[in-house]
Amino acid sequence: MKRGALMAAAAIATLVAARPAAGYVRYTSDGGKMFKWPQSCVVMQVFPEDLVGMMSRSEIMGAIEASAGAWSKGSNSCTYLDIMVSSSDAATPRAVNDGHNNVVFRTETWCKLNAKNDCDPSVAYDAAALALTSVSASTTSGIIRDADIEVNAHHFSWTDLVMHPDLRGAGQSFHDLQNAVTHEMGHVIGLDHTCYLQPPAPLDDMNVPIPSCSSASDAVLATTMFPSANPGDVDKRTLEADDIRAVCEIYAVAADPMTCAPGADDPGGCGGCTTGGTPKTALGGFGLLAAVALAARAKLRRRRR
Amino acid sequence: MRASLRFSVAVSLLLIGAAAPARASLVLALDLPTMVTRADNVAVVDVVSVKAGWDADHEQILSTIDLVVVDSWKGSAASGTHLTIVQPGGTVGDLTQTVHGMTRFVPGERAVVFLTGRPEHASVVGMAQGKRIVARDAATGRFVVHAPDKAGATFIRSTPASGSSPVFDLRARPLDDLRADVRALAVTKAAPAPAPGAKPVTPNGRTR
Repeated sequence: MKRGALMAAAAIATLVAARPAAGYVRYTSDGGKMFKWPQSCVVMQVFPEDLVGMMSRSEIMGAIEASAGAWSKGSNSCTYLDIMVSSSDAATPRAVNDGHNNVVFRTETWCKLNAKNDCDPSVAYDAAALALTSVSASTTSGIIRDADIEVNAHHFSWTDLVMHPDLRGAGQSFHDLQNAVTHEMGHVIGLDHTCYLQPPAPLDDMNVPIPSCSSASDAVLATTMFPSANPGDVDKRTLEADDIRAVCEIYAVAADPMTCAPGADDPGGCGGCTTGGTPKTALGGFGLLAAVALAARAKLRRRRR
Repeated sequence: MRASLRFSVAVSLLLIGAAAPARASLVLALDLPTMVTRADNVAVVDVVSVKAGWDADHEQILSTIDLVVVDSWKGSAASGTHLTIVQPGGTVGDLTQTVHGMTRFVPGERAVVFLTGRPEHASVVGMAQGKRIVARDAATGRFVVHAPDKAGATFIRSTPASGSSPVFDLRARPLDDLRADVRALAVTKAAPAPAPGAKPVTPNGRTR
């Protein structure tokens, strides 16, 4: 019996060893540079007003704050990254590369908006998309300059399924906002999938080719390794081990740049840009910090002169 | 001992399943009938070129993909005609804009595409679900259609409580088989395509 147990243990060890790598994968630019924010904190501005007919304001902000918090230092002491969320009652902006990172809810239309806020007839958004995340980064450095999340509330219904468990289950088609936005926040910080469908297989953080999604067994398809979820899913609200390792290695606390000034290391970035105006915001803390940092820098320059 | 063995196996399997992939844009999974119904053109195409440039407002990068039709399965695009896809994302100079879930195209590749919209401004149905690479199978010599490139998208099932069903067909299929299925679906007077999501109803019953 003891020998049998050893053999079973060995079989399990082999199974684990043979299992495709489950490392994390980072997005890379066409220049081969990995996407990364250069500063300690990433500010996401939320425009909840458009969704208040579907969820309460506190539910919306609670969902977005929790999604951001899942990837932030408050939940993961090994990282310096802090995704700071604030709300705004200003007019909902468009998802463009303007140096402002926005979370917007699209209720009236689901399309690319032009400068006049009309749908661009030449570019359609697919009605099957629940949410889209657009990330703009430097091709040569990989430094992220802008990220926007657009939630499709034109075709889909959103709620907090933990607060409203009656909306889960057969016959219901509500989607959990926090569940979805936690996914999108993974993109915002520069992460990619860990399985592929068309060769060549990308390498994960351990330089191991990531596993193929298409050759996965039915058992694997049913596991969390397969990137799918049902309506009503709330499992993705919380990070898994690889997600945590990703944020903790890419944004390791020991490498904290100790600045919240965006674009500090990115000459072509948006460190000082003011495109799109400044919406009304509850961003006092960040604004103050940035102002103090800029004042200190100016003072230092004056002293050097 | 048997109990402890079972425990070990359970713990090990839990550990195996514990690591989840990084997450991505969410897209509703569409089955083949829905894909065909929603597509204005379904065809085998060759990717001629992919060009990125700024939009008219110089705010967003758009990619324009030129396709030439090899074999039309649905729609009026004859063999040899061109179809053009315009979609957000691409690289211009030192700026790379990524819209997660958008389909990736590479010049020279051959694929089955499900397109909606006008031939000069088409978009891919179901985002990355609407493009499937065609290649010759080394073992059989037959052309096969590969699973869709999800390009960063996370697909979800369209109906709740269907946990055991596959999200969509992930396995490669012989080209001839898929062509027959698509053509049969295209000529069938299909019911109107189901709404992509739920009818927007608020938790307290209000409609938008």
